[in-house]
Amino acid sequence: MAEVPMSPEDELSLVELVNRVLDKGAVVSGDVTISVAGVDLIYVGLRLVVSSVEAMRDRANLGPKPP
Amino acid sequence: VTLYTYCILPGGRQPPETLTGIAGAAVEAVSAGDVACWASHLPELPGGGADVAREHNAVVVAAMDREVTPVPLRFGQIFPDRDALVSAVGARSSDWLELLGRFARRAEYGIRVARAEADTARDVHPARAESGTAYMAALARRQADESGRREEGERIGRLIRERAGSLITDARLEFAAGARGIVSLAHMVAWNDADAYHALLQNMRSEMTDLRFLYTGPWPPYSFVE
Repeated sequence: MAEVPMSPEDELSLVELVNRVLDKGAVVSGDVTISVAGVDLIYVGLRLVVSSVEAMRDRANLGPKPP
Repeated sequence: VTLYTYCILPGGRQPPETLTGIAGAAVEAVSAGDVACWASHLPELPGGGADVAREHNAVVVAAMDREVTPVPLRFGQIFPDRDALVSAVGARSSDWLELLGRFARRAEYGIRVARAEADTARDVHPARAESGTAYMAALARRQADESGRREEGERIGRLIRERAGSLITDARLEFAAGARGIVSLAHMVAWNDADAYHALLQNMRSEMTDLRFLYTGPWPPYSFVE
Protein backbone atom coordinates (compact mmCIF):
# COMPACT_ATOMS: atom_id res chain seq x y z
CA MET A 1 0.00 0.00 0.00
CA ALA A 2 1.35 3.46 -0.90
CA GLU A 3 2.31 5.70 1.99
CA VAL A 4 0.07 8.69 2.54
CA PRO A 5 2.14 11.88 3.01
CA MET A 6 1.72 13.63 6.34
CA SER A 7 -0.12 16.92 6.34
CA PRO A 8 1.57 19.93 8.03
CA GLU A 9 -0.94 19.55 10.86
CA ASP A 10 0.03 15.89 11.30
CA GLU A 11 3.71 16.80 11.23
CA LEU A 12 3.18 19.51 13.82
CA SER A 13 1.27 17.12 16.06
CA LEU A 14 4.04 14.54 15.75
CA VAL A 15 6.73 17.10 16.58
CA GLU A 16 4.72 18.29 19.57
CA LEU A 17 4.16 14.71 20.72
CA VAL A 18 7.80 13.68 20.40
CA ASN A 19 8.96 16.88 22.13
CA ARG A 20 6.69 16.19 25.05
CA VAL A 21 7.15 12.44 25.43
CA LEU A 22 10.95 12.40 25.01
CA ASP A 23 11.92 15.71 26.57
CA LYS A 24 9.32 16.31 29.25
CA GLY A 25 7.31 14.38 31.77
CA ALA A 26 8.27 13.39 35.28
CA VAL A 27 11.40 11.44 36.14
CA VAL A 28 10.55 8.94 38.88
CA SER A 29 14.02 8.74 40.33
CA GLY A 30 17.51 9.77 39.39
CA ASP A 31 18.54 6.15 39.71
CA VAL A 32 16.61 4.55 36.89
CA THR A 33 17.76 2.88 33.75
CA ILE A 34 16.81 4.73 30.62
CA SER A 35 16.39 3.49 27.08
CA VAL A 36 15.89 6.27 24.58
CA ALA A 37 15.97 5.98 20.82
CA GLY A 38 18.48 3.20 20.61
CA VAL A 39 20.74 4.65 23.27
CA ASP A 40 20.05 1.72 25.55
CA LEU A 41 20.89 1.35 29.18
CA ILE A 42 22.14 4.81 29.99
CA TYR A 43 22.57 4.63 33.73
CA VAL A 44 21.69 7.93 35.28
CA GLY A 45 23.15 9.04 38.56
CA LEU A 46 21.05 10.37 41.40
CA ARG A 47 19.35 13.71 40.64
CA LEU A 48 20.79 13.82 37.14
CA VAL A 49 18.19 14.96 34.69
CA VAL A 50 17.75 12.69 31.75
CA SER A 51 17.75 14.22 28.29
CA SER A 52 16.18 12.97 25.12
CA VAL A 53 18.18 12.37 22.00
CA GLU A 54 16.76 15.61 20.65
CA ALA A 55 18.12 17.59 23.57
CA MET A 56 21.46 15.85 23.36
CA ARG A 57 21.72 16.79 19.70
CA ASP A 58 20.90 20.38 20.55
CA ARG A 59 23.64 20.49 23.12
CA ALA A 60 26.09 18.83 20.76
CA ASN A 61 25.47 21.62 18.28
CA LEU A 62 27.65 24.20 19.95
CA GLY A 63 27.06 26.81 17.32
CA PRO A 64 28.89 27.82 14.18
CA LYS A 65 32.64 27.57 13.88
CA PRO A 66 34.52 30.69 12.77
CA PRO A 67 35.60 30.53 9.12
CA VAL B 1 12.10 -8.67 31.47
CA THR B 2 11.71 -5.10 32.64
CA LEU B 3 8.88 -2.92 33.91
CA TYR B 4 8.29 0.05 31.63
CA THR B 5 6.42 2.98 33.21
CA TYR B 6 3.90 5.44 31.71
CA CYS B 7 2.20 7.59 34.35
CA ILE B 8 1.20 8.05 37.99
CA LEU B 9 -2.44 8.07 39.11
CA PRO B 10 -4.42 8.08 42.34
CA GLY B 11 -4.34 4.65 44.00
CA GLY B 12 -6.92 2.18 42.76
CA ARG B 13 -7.18 3.54 39.20
CA GLN B 14 -7.06 0.47 36.95
CA PRO B 15 -6.33 0.56 33.20
CA PRO B 16 -8.97 -0.81 30.81
CA GLU B 17 -8.42 -4.53 30.22
CA THR B 18 -7.99 -3.98 26.49
CA LEU B 19 -5.39 -1.22 26.85
CA THR B 20 -1.99 -2.00 25.36
CA GLY B 21 1.24 -0.04 25.60
CA ILE B 22 4.73 -0.27 24.13
CA ALA B 23 5.01 -3.12 21.61
CA GLY B 24 1.42 -4.15 22.32
CA ALA B 25 2.18 -5.15 25.92
CA ALA B 26 -0.63 -5.25 28.50
CA VAL B 27 -0.80 -2.35 30.95
CA GLU B 28 -1.20 -2.90 34.68
CA ALA B 29 -1.52 -0.65 37.73
CA VAL B 30 1.29 -1.14 40.26
CA SER B 31 0.21 0.21 43.65
CA ALA B 32 2.73 2.25 45.64
CA GLY B 33 1.23 3.75 48.78
CA ASP B 34 -1.55 6.18 47.90
CA VAL B 35 -0.76 6.22 44.20
CA ALA B 36 -0.54 3.74 41.32
CA CYS B 37 1.90 3.59 38.45
CA TRP B 38 0.70 2.23 35.11
CA ALA B 39 3.38 -0.03 33.68
CA SER B 40 4.03 -2.88 31.25
CA HIS B 41 6.25 -5.95 31.48
CA LEU B 42 8.50 -5.85 28.41
CA PRO B 43 10.62 -8.78 27.27
CA GLU B 44 13.27 -6.39 25.98
CA LEU B 45 14.13 -2.71 26.11
CA PRO B 46 12.07 -0.47 23.83
CA GLY B 47 13.77 1.19 20.89
CA GLY B 48 13.26 4.80 19.96
CA GLY B 49 11.27 6.57 17.29
CA ALA B 50 7.90 8.10 16.78
CA ASP B 51 5.93 4.85 17.07
CA VAL B 52 7.01 4.10 20.62
CA ALA B 53 6.49 7.75 21.56
CA ARG B 54 2.93 7.41 20.26
CA GLU B 55 2.42 4.16 22.18
CA HIS B 56 3.72 5.72 25.39
CA ASN B 57 1.48 8.75 24.98
CA ALA B 58 -1.58 6.63 24.13
CA VAL B 59 -1.41 4.95 27.53
CA VAL B 60 -1.10 8.28 29.35
CA VAL B 61 -4.02 9.70 27.35
CA ALA B 62 -6.10 6.61 28.19
CA ALA B 63 -5.53 7.42 31.87
CA MET B 64 -7.08 10.90 31.50
CA ASP B 65 -10.70 11.72 32.09
CA ARG B 66 -12.64 14.82 33.08
CA GLU B 67 -11.88 14.28 36.78
CA VAL B 68 -8.42 12.72 36.89
CA THR B 69 -5.33 13.86 35.01
CA PRO B 70 -2.30 11.59 35.47
CA VAL B 71 1.26 12.69 36.11
CA PRO B 72 2.89 11.75 32.78
CA LEU B 73 6.27 10.08 33.03
CA ARG B 74 9.07 10.77 30.60
CA PHE B 75 9.63 8.16 27.92
CA GLY B 76 12.09 5.37 28.58
CA GLN B 77 12.00 4.80 32.34
CA ILE B 78 12.25 1.15 33.24
CA PHE B 79 12.71 -0.80 36.45
CA PRO B 80 14.17 -4.26 36.94
CA ASP B 81 11.20 -5.51 38.98
CA ARG B 82 8.04 -4.55 40.85
CA ASP B 83 9.81 -3.99 44.19
CA ALA B 84 12.20 -1.45 42.65
CA LEU B 85 9.30 0.40 41.04
CA VAL B 86 7.18 0.43 44.21
CA SER B 87 10.14 1.69 46.23
CA ALA B 88 11.00 4.53 43.79
CA VAL B 89 7.42 5.69 43.27
CA GLY B 90 6.44 5.30 46.93
CA ALA B 91 9.42 7.39 48.06
CA ARG B 92 7.85 10.44 46.37
CA SER B 93 4.22 9.71 47.19
CA SER B 94 3.51 13.18 48.58
CA ASP B 95 4.97 14.83 45.44
CA TRP B 96 2.72 12.74 43.19
CA LEU B 97 -0.37 13.51 45.26
CA GLU B 98 0.38 17.23 45.16
CA LEU B 99 0.73 17.13 41.36
CA LEU B 100 -2.41 15.01 40.92
CA GLY B 101 -4.35 17.57 42.96
CA ARG B 102 -2.99 20.42 40.86
CA PHE B 103 -3.74 18.67 37.55
CA ALA B 104 -7.21 17.33 38.36
CA ARG B 105 -9.95 18.40 35.91
CA ARG B 106 -7.35 20.15 33.71
CA ALA B 107 -5.31 19.46 30.57
CA GLU B 108 -2.31 21.01 28.85
CA TYR B 109 -2.72 22.97 25.61
CA GLY B 110 0.12 24.05 23.36
CA ILE B 111 0.56 27.11 21.16
CA ARG B 112 3.42 27.68 18.74
CA VAL B 113 3.71 31.31 17.71
CA ALA B 114 5.62 32.10 14.53
CA ARG B 115 5.99 34.96 12.10
CA ALA B 116 3.60 34.72 9.17
CA GLU B 117 6.51 35.41 6.81
CA ALA B 118 10.11 34.27 7.23
CA ASP B 119 12.39 37.25 7.81
CA THR B 120 15.29 36.16 5.63
CA ALA B 121 17.25 39.32 6.37
CA ARG B 122 17.31 38.30 10.04
CA ASP B 123 17.94 34.64 9.33
CA VAL B 124 21.66 35.00 9.78
CA HIS B 125 24.13 32.15 9.29
CA PRO B 126 27.52 33.20 10.69
CA ALA B 127 29.06 29.90 9.57
CA ARG B 128 28.59 30.96 5.95
CA ALA B 129 30.51 34.20 6.43
CA GLU B 130 33.51 34.50 4.15
CA SER B 131 35.80 36.46 6.46
CA GLY B 132 36.44 36.91 10.14
CA THR B 133 34.92 40.40 10.09
CA ALA B 134 31.81 39.16 8.32
CA TYR B 135 31.58 36.30 10.81
CA MET B 136 31.69 38.69 13.80
CA ALA B 137 29.10 40.97 12.19
CA ALA B 138 26.79 38.03 11.43
CA LEU B 139 27.20 36.75 14.98
CA ALA B 140 26.26 40.16 16.38
CA ARG B 141 23.17 40.31 14.14
CA ARG B 142 22.14 36.82 15.24
CA GLN B 143 22.50 37.72 18.92
CA ALA B 144 20.45 40.90 18.43
CA ASP B 145 17.80 38.91 16.57
CA GLU B 146 17.60 36.27 19.30
CA SER B 147 17.33 38.94 21.96
CA GLY B 148 14.51 40.67 20.06
CA ARG B 149 12.74 37.39 19.49
CA ARG B 150 12.88 36.54 23.19
CA GLU B 151 11.37 39.91 24.11
CA GLU B 152 8.64 39.40 21.53
CA GLY B 153 7.96 35.87 22.81
CA GLU B 154 7.72 37.08 26.41
CA ARG B 155 5.41 39.91 25.36
CA ILE B 156 3.08 37.53 23.52
CA GLY B 157 3.10 35.09 26.44
CA ARG B 158 2.26 37.89 28.89
CA LEU B 159 -0.49 39.27 26.65
CA ILE B 160 -2.23 35.90 26.36
CA ARG B 161 -2.05 35.32 30.10
CA GLU B 162 -3.38 38.79 30.88
CA ARG B 163 -6.33 38.36 28.54
CA ALA B 164 -7.02 34.78 29.62
CA GLY B 165 -6.97 35.64 33.33
CA SER B 166 -8.16 32.68 35.37
CA LEU B 167 -8.76 30.54 32.25
CA ILE B 168 -5.05 29.66 32.43
CA THR B 169 -4.03 28.17 35.76
CA ASP B 170 -0.37 27.60 34.89
CA ALA B 171 1.93 28.40 31.96
CA ARG B 172 5.32 27.50 30.51
CA LEU B 173 7.27 29.29 27.79
CA GLU B 174 10.07 28.13 25.50
CA PHE B 175 11.78 30.17 22.82
CA ALA B 176 11.60 28.76 19.33
CA ALA B 177 14.30 28.38 16.69
CA GLY B 178 14.24 28.99 12.95
CA ALA B 179 13.55 31.97 10.71
CA ARG B 180 9.87 32.15 11.68
CA GLY B 181 9.59 30.66 15.16
CA ILE B 182 9.14 32.99 18.11
CA VAL B 183 7.84 31.11 21.10
CA SER B 184 6.21 27.88 22.20
CA LEU B 185 3.67 28.18 25.01
CA ALA B 186 2.06 25.54 27.21
CA HIS B 187 -1.04 26.33 29.26
CA MET B 188 -2.98 24.40 31.87
CA VAL B 189 -6.68 24.91 31.32
CA ALA B 190 -9.70 23.36 33.05
CA TRP B 191 -11.80 21.13 30.79
CA ASN B 192 -14.78 23.34 31.61
CA ASP B 193 -12.90 26.44 30.38
CA ALA B 194 -11.51 24.93 27.17
CA ASP B 195 -14.15 26.51 24.88
CA ALA B 196 -13.65 29.98 26.34
CA TYR B 197 -9.86 29.56 26.09
CA HIS B 198 -10.07 28.63 22.41
CA ALA B 199 -12.46 31.50 21.66
CA LEU B 200 -9.97 33.90 23.23
CA LEU B 201 -7.13 32.52 21.12
CA GLN B 202 -9.21 32.79 17.95
CA ASN B 203 -9.83 36.46 18.73
CA MET B 204 -6.14 37.08 19.28
CA ARG B 205 -5.27 35.31 16.04
CA SER B 206 -7.63 37.55 14.09
CA GLU B 207 -6.01 40.64 15.69
CA MET B 208 -2.37 39.64 15.19
CA THR B 209 -2.29 38.93 11.48
CA ASP B 210 1.51 39.18 11.25
CA LEU B 211 1.78 36.06 13.40
CA ARG B 212 0.81 32.43 12.97
CA PHE B 213 -0.74 30.62 15.92
CA LEU B 214 -0.62 26.83 15.80
CA TYR B 215 -2.63 25.09 18.50
CA THR B 216 -2.30 21.55 19.83
CA GLY B 217 -3.93 19.67 22.67
CA PRO B 218 -5.39 18.62 24.93
CA TRP B 219 -2.26 16.89 26.20
CA PRO B 220 -1.36 15.19 29.45
CA PRO B 221 0.61 17.81 31.43
CA TYR B 222 4.09 16.79 30.24
CA SER B 223 5.32 20.40 30.34
CA PHE B 224 4.33 20.94 33.97
CA VAL B 225 6.43 18.31 35.71
CA GLU B 226 10.14 18.00 36.30
